[in-house]
Amino acid sequence: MEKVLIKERQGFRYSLKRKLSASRFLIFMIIPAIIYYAVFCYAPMYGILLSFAKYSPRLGILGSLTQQWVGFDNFKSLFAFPNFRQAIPNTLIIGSLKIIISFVSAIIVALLINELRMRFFKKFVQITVTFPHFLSWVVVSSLFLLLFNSTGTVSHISQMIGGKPLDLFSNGPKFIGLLLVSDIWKEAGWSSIIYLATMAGISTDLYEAADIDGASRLQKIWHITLPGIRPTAVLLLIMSVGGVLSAGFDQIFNMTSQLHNSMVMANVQIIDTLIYQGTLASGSLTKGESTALGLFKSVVGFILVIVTDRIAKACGERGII
Amino acid sequence: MRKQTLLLGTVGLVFSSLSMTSCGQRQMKADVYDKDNNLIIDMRHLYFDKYSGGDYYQEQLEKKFKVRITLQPYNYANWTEQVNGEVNGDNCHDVFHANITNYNFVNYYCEWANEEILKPLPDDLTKWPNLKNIIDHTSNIDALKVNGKLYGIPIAKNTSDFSTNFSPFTYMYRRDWAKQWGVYQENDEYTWSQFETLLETFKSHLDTTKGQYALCDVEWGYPSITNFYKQVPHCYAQDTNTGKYVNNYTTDAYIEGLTKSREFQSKGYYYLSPNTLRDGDAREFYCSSKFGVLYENVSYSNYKATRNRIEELNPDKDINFLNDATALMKIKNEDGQYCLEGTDNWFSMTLFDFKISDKKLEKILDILDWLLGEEGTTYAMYGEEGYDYTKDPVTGEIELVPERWYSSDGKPIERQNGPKALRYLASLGYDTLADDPTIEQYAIDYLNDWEAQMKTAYNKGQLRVLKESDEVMWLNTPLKSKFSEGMRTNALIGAMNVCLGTMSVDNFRSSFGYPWDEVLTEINTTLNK
Amino acid sequence: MAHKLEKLPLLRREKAGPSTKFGGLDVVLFIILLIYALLIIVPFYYLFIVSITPAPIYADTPVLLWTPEISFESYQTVFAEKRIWNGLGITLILLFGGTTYQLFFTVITGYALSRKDWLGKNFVMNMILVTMFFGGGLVPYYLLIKSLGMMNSIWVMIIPGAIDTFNMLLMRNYFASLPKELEESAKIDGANDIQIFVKIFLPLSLPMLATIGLFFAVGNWNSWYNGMLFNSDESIKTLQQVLQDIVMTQSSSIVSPNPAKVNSESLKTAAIFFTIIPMMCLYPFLQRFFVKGIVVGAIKG
Repeated sequence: MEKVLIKERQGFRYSLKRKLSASRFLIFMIIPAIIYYAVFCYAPMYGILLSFAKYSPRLGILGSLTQQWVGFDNFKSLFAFPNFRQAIPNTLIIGSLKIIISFVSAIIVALLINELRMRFFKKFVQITVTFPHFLSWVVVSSLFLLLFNSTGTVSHISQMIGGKPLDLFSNGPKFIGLLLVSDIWKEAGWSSIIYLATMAGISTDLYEAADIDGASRLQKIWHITLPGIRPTAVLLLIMSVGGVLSAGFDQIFNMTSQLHNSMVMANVQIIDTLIYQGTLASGSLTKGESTALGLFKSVVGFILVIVTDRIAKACGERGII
Repeated sequence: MRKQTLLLGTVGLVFSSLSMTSCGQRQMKADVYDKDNNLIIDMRHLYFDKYSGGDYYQEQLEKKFKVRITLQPYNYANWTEQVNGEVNGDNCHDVFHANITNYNFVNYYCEWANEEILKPLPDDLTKWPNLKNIIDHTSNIDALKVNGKLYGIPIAKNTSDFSTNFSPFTYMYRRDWAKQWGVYQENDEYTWSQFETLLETFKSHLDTTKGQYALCDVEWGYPSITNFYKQVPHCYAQDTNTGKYVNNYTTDAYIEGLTKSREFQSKGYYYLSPNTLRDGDAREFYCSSKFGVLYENVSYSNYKATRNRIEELNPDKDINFLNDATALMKIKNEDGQYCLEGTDNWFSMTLFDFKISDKKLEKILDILDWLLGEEGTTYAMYGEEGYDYTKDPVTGEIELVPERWYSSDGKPIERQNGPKALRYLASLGYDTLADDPTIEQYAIDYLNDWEAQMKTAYNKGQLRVLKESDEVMWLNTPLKSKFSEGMRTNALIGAMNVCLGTMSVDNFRSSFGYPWDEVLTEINTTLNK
Repeated sequence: MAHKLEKLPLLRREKAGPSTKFGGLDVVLFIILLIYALLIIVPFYYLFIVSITPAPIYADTPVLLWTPEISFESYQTVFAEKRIWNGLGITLILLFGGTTYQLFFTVITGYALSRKDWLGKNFVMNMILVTMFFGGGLVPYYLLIKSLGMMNSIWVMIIPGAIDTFNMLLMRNYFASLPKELEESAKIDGANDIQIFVKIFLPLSLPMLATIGLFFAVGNWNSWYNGMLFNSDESIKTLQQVLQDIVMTQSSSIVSPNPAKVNSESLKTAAIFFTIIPMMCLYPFLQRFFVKGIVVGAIKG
């Protein structure tokens, strides 16, 4: 009995060794990645602990943790902070609107392009509409500011045809509208690519059979194309749900920081801009609170992904985890 | 999967603890010398933006004190962010510069002093008499002392006259338009109704489709009418009956001013879209003849910059046009009083990294003291004797060498040099302005004249200086420190909303919930009101 | 293998099905998409027109479809601006140096993770996935950059970007989609993993490499955030940072030698145009690479 056990152990050790040596080149290739993630992602992760301490630069992080541990005080004061209470609904509203609208707009654009039959024009449209994805928000926000501020071009056109000047930058909901429009303008074309590819992968037999049955084009879209892209759509939707709390720091930062008086900031202050602004600009968040806010965001985002994934699986779709 | 997670956690912890050990207690900075045995001093300052270091005059200064100075500017657009990043990242320059308003005073200055991020000045400054003179005369200097120590040098705005307690935030206007359209008042003095007539007239002659408006405020000043007309937008006002501090934004005086601002905006006097101005836009538009009146901080440098820009944009116009286009307006309230915002004699501070040695600090103070003294001031302003200027041995009168100071077409050359830039560590240079050969005499005379008039009015009791009372402004209590800045920002955004018509006055009044009551209670309790 | 890739064309459907008649619906589609394309193009066109309009004309008519007088003075001023060329130089260093560096590390990581079942693979994979959700926050990251001595240096814009997790996963999915037989037969011939990677898989994945490389290149061209946080030195600002300075404030904007003729708006638009023109010229030719990569990587994933 004992002998057998020993033998088994030896076997285990042997296979471990062999496995190691068999994959030594791959392990060699992965070493840079391990170093990279250790240094740039895991090394600063101890900073999460700052959520539970009062940070003082004099003591350093270790000193702050050992000497000024405050438990959940940072979270308590954070949850009572007016700007935090503002930022949470803002983030959720902007984030979810963005997810829904970009999801829908990408599918619509894909359907439109997919149904188009002029080969050259199709190519032209594809190139044009995917281009803005590659511009930085610095450029895109300058462009939108030039066009849409109250003394900008669109406002002038509106006045010329007898309307009122635009006031997108003083009105929160309208400004959020502008954020969504600029997001669609920049990203819808690009996001449609993946649906187009999926549509191209749908078997032509299905369409031919539908033709024989005398189905109209709209019927074909409804009964063949849309079901055909459903798995991809669900997959992409789950992936985007995890980012609902991100809501676009780059965009909001660039759209608002060019203006001196950002009146709409109360409406578009999201978690990420609050962390940046509260930590570095106004100093209204202590370092402990801003770290706590970051942790809060990570945890909620993580939970959201898991939950959506479970829901999708329960509905019979393929999940991502 | 569960095993994986456990493993993952362990490895994460190991990495973390490894990295934590590398961030222990801070080290003091050792003095570093270059190969010629000069002490290296590393500075970063907002006012180094026009001078990047390394000129002949700086070299001479460095030789004199056996130092080598490296200079870096802050970018105004994200100045505070940069300073905060450096402080929190334990990455301060030897000498750095922060904007210490009374709203971030506690969050920044007091906290940094307590955290020993800042190095205090020596208690006894008699070794540096010129510097001591400036510091002793600085208004509210006691408020800046933390535990009895001063942690930096407040940069004096006006070292020739410390008693000035108001800011030159006022209205610049197009006198030529006023004359042309017949609404000009003698001596640029306007009552409120005359001011409104002027705006109405400007408005009727200007074309809004070309972006022309009667009135505009500099980006940070909107809505200036509110301040000017009744109250300055400070958080806390004192109730005259009870002596208690109350929310200034809900006082009748503020609301009255706000209503006036709303009226001006809705009547179309004001620039349509004050909230989409970028830094510098208002002045630029004024210079390109888009606005009739501009509310601005009319310091010499801003005033001069405005004049220069107008001159550039109108190359064919003469000096009278220029003077008319940059006239300062004096507005009297119904009660016959002028009204200006109050100020302390400083608004930003030069700070020292705690980690530098005493020797280095003393060296820096030596240099500053010399620069503020007669010899140093002359050197900073005029340069090298015999090269830049000659001195009459008997009368001591200074004569400039023309080719060093004027270009071939006779225009004065804008001279920036190391010593001049370094002087900004303690003084904004207004003390030397009057003697500066390159300044525009008309501009400085005009501004001095304006200031003298205002001062006379103040002495006669005809100038209302709007200022939050010092006891509450510099009060350091936990809730106030935490919330003041946010409270003020939110209130100002609310005020803008009222002016632009997206919020009613009643909604504005009732928009002050948490944490206003708590903060006010805290203040009143602390001050025993 | 190559033909397998081409079996995913985007433009295949128009041949399918007998209903190739050009109907009313096609006209509607054409019009809608034409409007959509115009909505993308017109802002750029307008931007360009503003940049070449002399100041007095712009002041009179801010809405322009065409300018009666063309002046390229704004471009001359922008070209004369040292900061822009300096920024361009820094951005080009990032573009070539940074892209190569990122591509190298991302691809070898993606490859190693795509191979079957080596010891610790799942563990490493999970460790990497966790970083997509959790991070240490601003302050520790700042301290890290500082302790690595990368403050105020061009390295801070290159080194921390070594591996982009998303692109690495795209790469991994692509490698995993290639037939297993390739690896097995090479193994029988006695090749080791590195040889297999270099000799067999790399040549097969050139289109994918091009895609990922282009993504990195675009990212580097548009990079500003790390520079803004960690660099204060004017001489190592990227082009986007310089652009941000120019468009954000008047005070740090460009000063024209002839201000009566060139207004600040045309200078800003000229500067913006300067930064997007290279991409505008190259994009139509590179577009298929971008598209191919995202399609292959994502579909298999």
